[in-house]
Order: sequence, then C-alpha cells, then structure tokens
Amino acid sequence: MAVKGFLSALYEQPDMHRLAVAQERANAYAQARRVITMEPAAVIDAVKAANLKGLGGAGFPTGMKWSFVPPKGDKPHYLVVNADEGEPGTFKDRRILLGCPHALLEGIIICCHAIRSEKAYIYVRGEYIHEMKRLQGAIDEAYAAGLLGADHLGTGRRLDVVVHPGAGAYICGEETALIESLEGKKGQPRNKPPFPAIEGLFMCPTVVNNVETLSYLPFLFEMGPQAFNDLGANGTGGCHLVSLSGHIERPGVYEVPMGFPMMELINGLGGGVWKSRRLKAVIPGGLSAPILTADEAQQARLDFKTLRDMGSMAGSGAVMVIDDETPMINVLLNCSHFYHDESCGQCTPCRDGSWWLYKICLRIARGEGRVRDLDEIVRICNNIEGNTICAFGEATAWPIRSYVRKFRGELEAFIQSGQRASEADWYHDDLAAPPLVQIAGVAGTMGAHV
Amino acid sequence: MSGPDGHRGAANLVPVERESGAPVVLPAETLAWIEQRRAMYEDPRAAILPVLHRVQDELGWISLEAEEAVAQAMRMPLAKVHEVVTFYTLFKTQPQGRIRVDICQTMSCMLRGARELFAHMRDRYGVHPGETTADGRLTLHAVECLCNCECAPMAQIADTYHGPLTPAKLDELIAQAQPGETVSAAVTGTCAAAIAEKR
Ligand SMILES: Cc1cc2nc3c(=O)[nH]c(=O)nc-3n(C[C@H](O)[C@H](O)[C@H](O)COP(=O)(O)O)c2cc1C
Ligand code: SF4
Ligand code: FES
Repeated sequence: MAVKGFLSALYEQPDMHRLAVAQERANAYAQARRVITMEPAAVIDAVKAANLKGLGGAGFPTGMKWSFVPPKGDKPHYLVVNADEGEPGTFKDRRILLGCPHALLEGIIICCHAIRSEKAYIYVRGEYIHEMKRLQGAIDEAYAAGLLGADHLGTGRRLDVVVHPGAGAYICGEETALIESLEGKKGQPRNKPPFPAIEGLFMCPTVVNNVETLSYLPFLFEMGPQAFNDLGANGTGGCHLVSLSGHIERPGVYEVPMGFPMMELINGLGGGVWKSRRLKAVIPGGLSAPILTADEAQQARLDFKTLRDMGSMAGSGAVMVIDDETPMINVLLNCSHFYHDESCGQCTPCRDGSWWLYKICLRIARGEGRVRDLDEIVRICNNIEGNTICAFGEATAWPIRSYVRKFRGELEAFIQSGQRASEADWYHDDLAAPPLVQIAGVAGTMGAHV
Repeated sequence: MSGPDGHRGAANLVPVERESGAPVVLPAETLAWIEQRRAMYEDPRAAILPVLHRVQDELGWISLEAEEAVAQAMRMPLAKVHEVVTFYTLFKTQPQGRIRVDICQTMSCMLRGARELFAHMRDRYGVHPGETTADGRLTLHAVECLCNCECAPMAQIADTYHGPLTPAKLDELIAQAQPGETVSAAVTGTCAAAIAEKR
C-alpha cells in the first residue's frame, strides 16, 4: 500500500499553492519558524540522522552534503535548487512546483539556515512555463508575508529566492553544468574537485539539491528524524515520489516509502501492464538506469541500495514499464538517440561514443546490422564508462550495455532476420544522411564526421 | 540538437543564414527589464538566459542582429552570446511559426505511439521536425522528454503540455492554438524589486 501521503497529500488538494491555504490546511512554514531558532549544526545533524538522500538522481546523503560547506568566511554561500527535471521518465518535481510550492520554499528556508545562505536560485527547465509562473506567484506571496526578503521571519537576515529559467538542455540537470548555465555560460559540466560545496556558483560555496529532496524537509522536522528514518528502508529514510510511465494501465506519480516492492507498484498501484499484456522489462530509475528483465523486476524494491545491488539504480525514481510486444531494438534505438542528442560535447568518449552508438543502433534498426555490432556497442560503452568529466558518460553506457547484455538473443535474431524496425523511419533527419555502412564502417574513423 | 550535425559541443561548422536583414533595436522597456534582471545576480552576466528568452519572446527568434543587440545590452562579447544561443535548444536561430508544436520523441512517448503523431504531422501538415508550415502558422520540433511522460504520447503546444494525444486530438489542439504565456513573463517577480531596493 502507498503511504498516507506527505507531498502527495498536499499537491492533491486544490489551491494548495496559495499561501493562505497552505498555512491554514497544512501548517506551512511552522517547521521553518522552529528550525531557524536551532543551531545550523543541529539542523544538519537532524537531516543526517533522518537518512534523507538526494532524490534528484544520485542519492547522495543530504546532511553530509550540507556539512561539506565550510564555515562562513567572507564569501557568500548559495543554495541552488535543481528544478531542471529532465531525466526521461521523471515528472514528480513539477507536481511540487505546481501543487505545493510552499513546501519547497519552506525546505529552502530550512536548508539556507543550515548552510548559512542568504540567497537561493531555483533553476527551472525552460519548458516549465506554467510551473515557473506558479512558483513565482508563491514566492511573491512569501515575500509579501515576510517569509522571504529582508529580515525574513524576523531573523534579522535576508533571504532572497530567484527563479531562473533554463533553455532546453538535459545536461543542465547535472549540478556543475547547472551552475555553469546559471552563471550565463554553455551548460558544460566542470571537472571535480573542487566540488560545489567548496567552489560552486560564482566560485562560492554552494549546495545543489533537488526540488523533492528539499520539499521533504518540513515533514522530516515535523515528525522528527527518527520517525522519518523509520519510514524508509535499506539505509534511506522517508518516502519518495515515483513517476510511473510506459506500458502501464495507470501512469502517474505515486508516493511510496523507500524499499517499496516494484511489482506492488506495477500491478497494485499502477493497475498492471496495459492491455492485459505481459511484462517484458522495467527501467527502474530513469532512462540512465540499467534495465531489469521481468524476472529481475519480481525481486526489485524501490530504494537506492536494493537497486544498486541488482546492478541498476534508483536514480530519480522514474519507473518505465515495457510490455512483451515491444521489440528491444526500439528501446535501444530510442535510448541511444537520446544520449547522442544530449551530450554536451566536451569529452571525446561521450561526444563521439554516443554518436557511434546511435549510428550503429540506427544501422541495426534499418536491417543493415551485423551480429558483431553488438560487441562493438559493448566495447564503446566500456570505453565511455569512467572516462568522462561527468556521470552522463555512465548514464549513456550503462543502459545501452544492459539492453545488449540482457536481450542479446533477441537482438541477434533481429539482426539475422534482416528486418527493418518499425521505429527506424521515425528519425526523419537521419534518413537523409549518407548510407550508414559508409560512415559507421570503422569506429575509429567515425570521429571525423562529428 | 544545435549544430547541423546535431551536436551541442561542435560549433556550427557550416555557416547558416541567420541575418534578419535589419538591425535590432531593443525597446526602452526591454532594456529596463534587462537592467532589472541583471541586478538580481551577483554577476550580471548570469541574466543571459532570461534575457534571451525575453528577446526571443518579443522577436520570435534570435537572429544574428538580435544577438548583437543582446551583447550590447549585456555588455558581453558577441561570441559569448552566440555560444550560449547555439548551445540551448529553446533558442531558435531561424524564424519560427507563430505556434510551436514540440512533440516528445523520448522513451515513454515512443512506447505509447509518438511515431504516429510525427507521421500525422508529415501527412496532414507537410512538416518534418524543424520545419514550418507554408502559411507560417506553426513550427514542429521533435524534442526530448518534456517530463510529462504520464500523459504519453504528449506535446507542448504554445506554452502548454497536452496528452495523451491521438492524431485527431492533435488536430483539434492545433486548430485552437493561440500563442501562449512566455518564459520571461513567468519569471518576473517581487524579489527583483526587493533586491534593487537593497542596492
Ligand atoms: C546527466 C545528469 C542529469 C541530471 N539531471 C538531473 C535533474 O534533471 N534533476 C535533478 O535534480 N538532478 C539531476 N542530476 C543530479 C544532479 O547532478 C545532482 O546530483 C542533484 O541535483 C543533487 O540534488 P539531490 O542531492 O537533492 O538529489 C543529474 C545528473 C546527471 C549526471
Ligand atoms: S560526459 Fe558527456 S555530457 Fe558529461 S561533460 Fe563529458 S561530454 Fe559533456
Ligand atoms: S518521454 Fe515524452 S514526456 Fe517523457
């Protein structure tokens, strides 16, 4: 069963984006008022004890991240809120931005107190026009009520919150690319170290947190760290919002505790695979996550540890369901196209590798592939992994390699049949390209065409 | 995809016609907006994305002349403005139709029939991704996951997300579509005034 609902209980109520309603029905900002009287170190300890982990994708312990911020010197500290929601399959942050933005703003006040920041930037993906408007409306109300701005909540300090629009680039969800983008540059990730906690936005100590992570903070403080931790399982406290999509009867966002069984999500909450078909595979944590076969899915639970132990990841909590009538080549082609399209281009293994992967997958999809192309795909993935500036490299290599490894028999049979995949003609732009054999012949020479 | 080869990282290797033919002069109101936006950041250059959104909202696309006007208003080298414009897919370097139709091509939408929508756009309106209809009414783009996969297959038409779509539903929405809210209108708020007051 799903939990009684924390964030979902808010965003499912009408008008919860309005300050008066949020204060009256959900006691909004009550925890922020309390937390700002605590020592910042005590706030961080509470978040650590609660075992809150980052829900943006990496699952990094939130309290620990905050504790990396150095003692306050002459540089300002910043909070950057990652609302660039872009991982394919994920659509939970927009629920919060639209439905309960005051939970986020309250979380921002709590975090800024803990890291001694007087300014937060919320980087929202540029397509989220209504979301930005809703959020800006909530911020305006919070300023008017003295929750933000000069002497916010009577603290004698200021706290400014600025909504910043992105402009269409998946890579800007990566925290250092997001910082570069926010600074007014191309969104290309930085080499680490230094990590943002030491040198982030405008070269100042910066914490980057996801919308959902911050929005759970009021609940964490309301119930107390121990109770929050006890809600979860396997080393992560609390619950999370799972985005369920693909071949499922009832797609949507479901709030479940950490460790929730995958099949209960799919067959219970999600109403089962659509059209009474059978399950073929599940992508458990956004497109970047290695795929699980239907058998593996039986054992899977939705938490960082269980999925990592299974060789996949919980990522952004996006579960994509694939039915048994879906040819794996369609999945492979679509995924490789995405990463080729979105690579920021600064590392050769990722820029060229994602291009080769896509070209090879397209060649296979057009019925021009050879069985050894599958080995070539794995080889390219192996060479991307670990050799790039940011985790986009792994996000490309892991899923694609997992499709080939787990569905090799089907893909081989497809290649041998010489068939053309139903999805192959969808890539209109690429149909005009020269015959693929010419450009994809020898991997080593393909870079010249990039 | 930014460059003609579809790679953000690679520059436009082929020079593309991007001149609108006339110099762009930004209205005083826009220049004032830009100044206000610049004041919201510790480094004013950080305002470039919202500023480009505003200029594009006003002009419909970012011509080379528009880049020059932005460079001047932002006190930034033209090359830096150009670098930003060409990196991000939401900035359009060619004239656009009045209505944007962005159909999602990523996994969940593919699984639930996005291809049919693209085929319909081709057959009914004669446009492939990146093309504008002859009457200049709409431009179709194939975009990556808009993070509304629960409504797959989906599209953003003008400013609004719609789905699940069928070809018939798509026709209906396109027939009703009006240019919508803009990004720059969505991100102007009281904090700008609060910050200006502080300075
Ligand atoms: C390629 C890539 C894309 C990412 N996209 C997002 C995103 O859209 N939203 C997000 O919150 N985090 C995203 N992340 C994770 C961020 O880098 C970062 O870990 C996160 O925002 C930290 O917040 P959290 O600790 O609260 O999760 C992405 C990471 C990578 C490598
Ligand atoms: S791994 Fe890819 S996305 Fe990340 S910095 Fe390198 S080229 Fe850019
Ligand atoms: S895959 Fe289309 S909106 Fe996410």
